[in-house]
Amino acid sequence: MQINIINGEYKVAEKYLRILETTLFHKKWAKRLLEVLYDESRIAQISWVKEKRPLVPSSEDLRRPNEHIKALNLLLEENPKNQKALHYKLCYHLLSKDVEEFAYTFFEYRDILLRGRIPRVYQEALVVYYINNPDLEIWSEIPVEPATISRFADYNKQFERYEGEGLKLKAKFEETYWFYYHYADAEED
Amino acid sequence: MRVYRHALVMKRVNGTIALSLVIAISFFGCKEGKPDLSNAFETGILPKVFPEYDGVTVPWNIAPLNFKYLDSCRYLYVNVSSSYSEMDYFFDSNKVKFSEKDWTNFLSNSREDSVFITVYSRNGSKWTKHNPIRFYVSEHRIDKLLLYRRIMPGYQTWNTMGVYQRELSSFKEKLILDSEVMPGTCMNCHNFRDNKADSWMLHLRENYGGTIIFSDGDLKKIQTKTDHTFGSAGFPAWHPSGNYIAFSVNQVTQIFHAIGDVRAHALDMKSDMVIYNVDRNEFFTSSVLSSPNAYEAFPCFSPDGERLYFVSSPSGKLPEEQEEMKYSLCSVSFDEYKGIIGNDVDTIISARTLGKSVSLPRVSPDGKYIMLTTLDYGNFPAYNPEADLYIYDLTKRELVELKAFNSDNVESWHSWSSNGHWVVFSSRRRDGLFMDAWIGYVDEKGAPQKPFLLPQKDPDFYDSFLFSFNVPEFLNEPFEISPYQIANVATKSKGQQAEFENSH
Repeated sequence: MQINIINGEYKVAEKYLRILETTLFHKKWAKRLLEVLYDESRIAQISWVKEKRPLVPSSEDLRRPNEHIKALNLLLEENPKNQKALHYKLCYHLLSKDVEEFAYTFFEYRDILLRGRIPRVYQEALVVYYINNPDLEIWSEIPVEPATISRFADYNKQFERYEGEGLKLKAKFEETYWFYYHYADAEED
Repeated sequence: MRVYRHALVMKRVNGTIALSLVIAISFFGCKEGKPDLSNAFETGILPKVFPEYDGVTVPWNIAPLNFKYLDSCRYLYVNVSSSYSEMDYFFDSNKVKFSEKDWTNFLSNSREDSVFITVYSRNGSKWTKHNPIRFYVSEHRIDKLLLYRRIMPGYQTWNTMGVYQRELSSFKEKLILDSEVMPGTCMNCHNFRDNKADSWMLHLRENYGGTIIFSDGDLKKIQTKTDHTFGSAGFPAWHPSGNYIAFSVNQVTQIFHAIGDVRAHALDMKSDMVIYNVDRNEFFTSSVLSSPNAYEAFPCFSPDGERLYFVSSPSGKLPEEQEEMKYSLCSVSFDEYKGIIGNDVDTIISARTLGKSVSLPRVSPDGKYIMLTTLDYGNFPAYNPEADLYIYDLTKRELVELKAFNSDNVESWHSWSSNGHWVVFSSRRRDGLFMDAWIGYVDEKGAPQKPFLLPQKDPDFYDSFLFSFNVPEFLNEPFEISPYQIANVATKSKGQQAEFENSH
């Protein structure tokens, strides 16, 4: 319903709001929205409408239902600071075990990403990428924490020790990207 | 809500005033009796109600046209009258719900007559009288049942759906099959032979995928993808003999737009047509129905079974050229005894000449007309707001817009009643998202009258109903196979593999 309002599809939004109007916890919220629903100037002042409308793509592109990356790229082209779209794209590559594409996206948006702490799972994926590309000059700028590197060394040692037997690694490394990369079944579209 | 029916006054039977009967009803504590309406303020305009019925034509065997009054009111007093009789109702809410028994009797005796519904509303102490809502009652009956699929109105979610049959003279609805009986199964493309339940089919996809066919009392499941076809068969049309079903074999995809009011389109990346011989469990086709240079789709047989109508477009590079994909209406001859498809394709409506695409041809039961949808491009009208209904006169060779049926939004998935006087179609006209079933009258000359929304018992129904009515089809006799019989056939085996006969 909020998406309908952001897109200006007020008739559809009204249908859902009329239902919410009869519920215990959303009654007041729905009533307030219904009062301003068709008043474009008042709708445009709502904080989440203000925030989301600039993120809506303004140029045409066609995509099929399973072209998720194309959809996310479209959002990023419209607004490179769209953090949600960026992280969805990065995580999509991680879930697909496509570390190359993950790293390519990471480096493309590194200026934005380096403004905050790099999530642990991203660091773990970057370590995987580093193994195959150790000579890139860029590594000095990527803050992979020493703890991540030492944990990776530990993972490698255990992996060799148990000859890749996943169950033996599960207790200690289940939460790591390396464990996912080696043992999880990624779902296809 | 309390409803007080005051009186049923029968003014005329067989053209003469014969009887005046007043039926006293207990008023559950109502002390007012019939209110004094003589001093009611007259607005001079129609009342704001939903659904709107003013100017529509309805069959004499349709369920009560319940509605709600949209302006503020505490009480309603409603007078329903025709030359035959009149009924008065009192409601202490804004909802007008008629007694099914009274309505059935009243309407069946008001054939070929206008019915007037005069609404009086009261908020404080004074009554307000509105101009009467007027509709016409046709002498032509509508089929007993409407069959439809309920699906979510969005683009990608389909985990909850069901196929139902609804009695049109009442509000009874019966389940055919739904996601609770068969979780994870998509069910679609139900199709009947001549509005009857003795020959029908239903596609299942994903879990327990296959095609369920009921013919000659036998329920079976088949697999329609063969070594000679690039996909499963879909979009069926029964031959009137019951011996054949024509199908398209499509590679359908949805295309999403980044901007604009139209969020998605469905399009064929590939499409051919095949004919299925029900007894032999085998498909056949011909070069005119499966050309590599064209996409053929949406088959429909003439009532005599001698012609097969379909739409066809030259192939193109998709999705980039999707707006160039315009479908023409074509036909070929069909010999049901030899099972032979003719070689000469007759282009009935050229997309190039029309400047538009046509889709979903449905021949009227008398074989005189083809109802179809026009759209700017492609052949799936469900998402195209410009999609409108047209009728093609096969004798005059004239295409005419069914203006009375169309709106600014999508009209599509139309279906004829067995007597050819009623058409049901889907439309997104109410809010641009939900597809509703609309019913309209067509006279002998193919001229339409203003349609009405499928009536519901509760006038609030459409406010809270979160599904679309998809592929509505009239049915003249009840569908007697239970959901569990279908599920049993669907789940117990993968189904019989259909063969492909190459000698055609």
